[in-house]
Amino acid sequence: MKQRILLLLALCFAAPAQAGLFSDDEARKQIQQLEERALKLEAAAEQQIKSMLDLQSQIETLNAELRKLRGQNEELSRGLQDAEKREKDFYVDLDTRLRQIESADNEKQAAAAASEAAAASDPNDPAQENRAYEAAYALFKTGDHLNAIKAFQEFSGKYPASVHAPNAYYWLGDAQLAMKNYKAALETYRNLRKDYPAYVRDADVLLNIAECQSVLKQEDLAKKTLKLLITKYPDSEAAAKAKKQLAAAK
Amino acid sequence: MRVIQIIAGLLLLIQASVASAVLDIEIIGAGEKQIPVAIVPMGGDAKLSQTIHEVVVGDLMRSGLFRMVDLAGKFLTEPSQVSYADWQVRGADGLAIGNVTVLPSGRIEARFRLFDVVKQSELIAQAVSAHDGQARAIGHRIADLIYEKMTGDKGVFGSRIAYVNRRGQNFRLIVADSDGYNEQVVLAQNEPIMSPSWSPDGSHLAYVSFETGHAVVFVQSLYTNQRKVLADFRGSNSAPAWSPDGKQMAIVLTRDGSSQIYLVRPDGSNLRRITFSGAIDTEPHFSPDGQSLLFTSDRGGSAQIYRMPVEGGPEQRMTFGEGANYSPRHSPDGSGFVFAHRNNGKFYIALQDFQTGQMELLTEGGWEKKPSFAPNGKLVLFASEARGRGILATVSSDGRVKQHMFTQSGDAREPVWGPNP
Amino acid sequence: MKKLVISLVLVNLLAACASNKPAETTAAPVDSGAKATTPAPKTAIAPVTPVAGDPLNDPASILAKRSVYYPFDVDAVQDADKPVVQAHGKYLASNPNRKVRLEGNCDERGSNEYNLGLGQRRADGVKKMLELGGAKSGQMESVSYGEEKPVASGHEEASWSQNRRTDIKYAK
Repeated sequence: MKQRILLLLALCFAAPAQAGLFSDDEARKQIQQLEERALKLEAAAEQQIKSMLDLQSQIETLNAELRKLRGQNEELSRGLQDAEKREKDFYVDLDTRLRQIESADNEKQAAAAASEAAAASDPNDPAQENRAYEAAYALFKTGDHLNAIKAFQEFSGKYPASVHAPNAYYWLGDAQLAMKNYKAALETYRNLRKDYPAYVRDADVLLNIAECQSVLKQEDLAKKTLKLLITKYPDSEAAAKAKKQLAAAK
Repeated sequence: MRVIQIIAGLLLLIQASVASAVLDIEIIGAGEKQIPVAIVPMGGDAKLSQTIHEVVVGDLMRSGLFRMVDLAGKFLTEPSQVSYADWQVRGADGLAIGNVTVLPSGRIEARFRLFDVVKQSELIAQAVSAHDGQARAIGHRIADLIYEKMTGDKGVFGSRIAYVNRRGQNFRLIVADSDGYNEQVVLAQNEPIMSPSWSPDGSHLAYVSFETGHAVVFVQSLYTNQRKVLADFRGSNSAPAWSPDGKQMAIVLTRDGSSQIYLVRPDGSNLRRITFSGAIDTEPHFSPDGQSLLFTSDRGGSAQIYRMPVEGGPEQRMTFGEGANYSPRHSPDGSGFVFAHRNNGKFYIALQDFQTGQMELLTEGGWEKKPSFAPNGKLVLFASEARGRGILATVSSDGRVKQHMFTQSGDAREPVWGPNP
Repeated sequence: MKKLVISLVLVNLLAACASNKPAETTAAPVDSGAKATTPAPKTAIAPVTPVAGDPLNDPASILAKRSVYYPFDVDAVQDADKPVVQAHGKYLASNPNRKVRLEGNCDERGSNEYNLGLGQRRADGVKKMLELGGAKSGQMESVSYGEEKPVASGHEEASWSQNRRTDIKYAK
């Protein structure tokens, strides 16, 4: 623009001095050239604006991308934190158990030494029974559901009258549920309810049964179970969940 | 003279009927344990007695923690008339009786007693008085006394709430009793009002008004109604929050780019920026100890709740998982926070514990936003929707008891529970 | 004094040129598309009041579009609406006495405060684009209404899509 004005100015001052030398055609030609230059400059400016706008939208896209990545980063580090905590809990748990086993072993050795006549492995030994149950439960807690199922089944076969028997059923059912073996879980829970009708976690058992039934497309039965749960244990947390589920099913 | 009295009486009647038509309340669900109480209407002035009785019963029912025992036609006002055996048979744990009179000065005085039917003892004997026309205040006070004695928690019925009522283009900022009655219009205009925020002593409301054509933060005294501009920079000025000691406020400004959080004194001095994210950082809320802030930010691509030290420092993301989260408010005991959770097209009121980091939904979901705790932490007030209208609602902090309050007309929005008086 | 003389000469000369060659220097203001508002040198030098035939008043002009729409929770101007914003940018650049108010709005999903921030970001995004197109920041004011002033009140996408919007409002 500036250049254009300067050229025009030069032209203006030059005009009177050389009036006789330039024809109208000459002046018109000069002006036309100036016009062309001006248009070129304008086009250049336009191009510049366009590329700046492109840059702006690129920045916006990058900002959005950056936010998304930041979110993913936050989620990943949270996941990592959780995993670290779980690992630590697991280690502490394992360590405690090992210590218990070690000290129990020591005691056992002492006991064995004291009375060689006693049976080495008494199936009625309550300590061994406890350890078997705890070992199975430890498997369950670490998420090794496959082995937990085996361990609980073994335990139930070996110690049918154990005080842990109902709990063993319960965790077996939970492990089966975790493995998505709903039919087996359903059967386990049913046996549990049959053998131990007054089991303390009965409300939760009912909720789990309803879950199995619902997955197995036995919707009506599931509803019945939830209703039973609500009437039988109206104040339980499980009943509150059951109410929500019933409401959601409607 | 007689005529004047009659006219005055008629006017009173009309006023009373207007006041009682303001709200329509629905209560859903019941507490885990409900304390059975017998509330006998007071002797003395029949009209006052009726009002007080309605308020006391209404308050106790809404808490979800009480069950009203049928009086079976029994009426008594004096301790000498109390037969514990009678009330034990009816299954009452508590029994309330009393008398209400108008003093020569015009003040209303209620003498009220509460008995423990099981232990056969008098728990409270107290006179509660209030200005002429403040029978509801007496009712709330008595309900608080009963609630405190029987549950061990502080009552909240005497506290107040603020919300915005929208009717078409008309916006009104309203302060009302905790049951929504007795409304006072703080500001009425034809431009939006949002984000009311109580000063910790209940004397002032900060809010956002669009009356000048953009969002500006005002602080208004509820006693003198005088107000002043707290922040009016270019762009939007919003989301005022008070520190627990009332000496600082957090606000959100866009003057330096996108929404960022600033601290400022309530007189507008010492303004300084404390977040630097380049994203939307908004809805700051002070922790009860005044040390940290919860806020909403979309720095991670979706709106989530973050926490940071008040004086600035590392921000920590608090909410994870599916959906977006908005409007965090600390619980009064500082153990967790309540917020609005959006997922699959629904808004829920949710609660999260700082210790476990677990989110718990308090409601079934719908159009539920902007939760705030009652001063005792037992109830959460929020904006909901029913029958196509914006309404106020409460849910007990265990999610068991819900209550809907319908304003007379228009939509109720942006509710916030005030401090105890 | 000298300057005044110079500019007088200049104006005269230009006027002469214009009268000689009308066909080439007068851009048709009603053209749609990006070239429509290319400022003629005449208006760049002596514009005070918008002349009759202001493209802003032409219902067929792209400038008749005064709203920009967004997907949910997005604040960047979408490709489809960029020509509209760019046209307004050019218009403001060549009409420095005109002023606009950019009003950001949101649908009701989100908290009121979050939406106030989002609406502001939408309005600021349009403002930035106008600025890059040549408008001066003094010509523009960006504000947000968040979800407080919906044009459609339904709870479904048909309403929401209308409410996610930045309005370009010219001062009278």
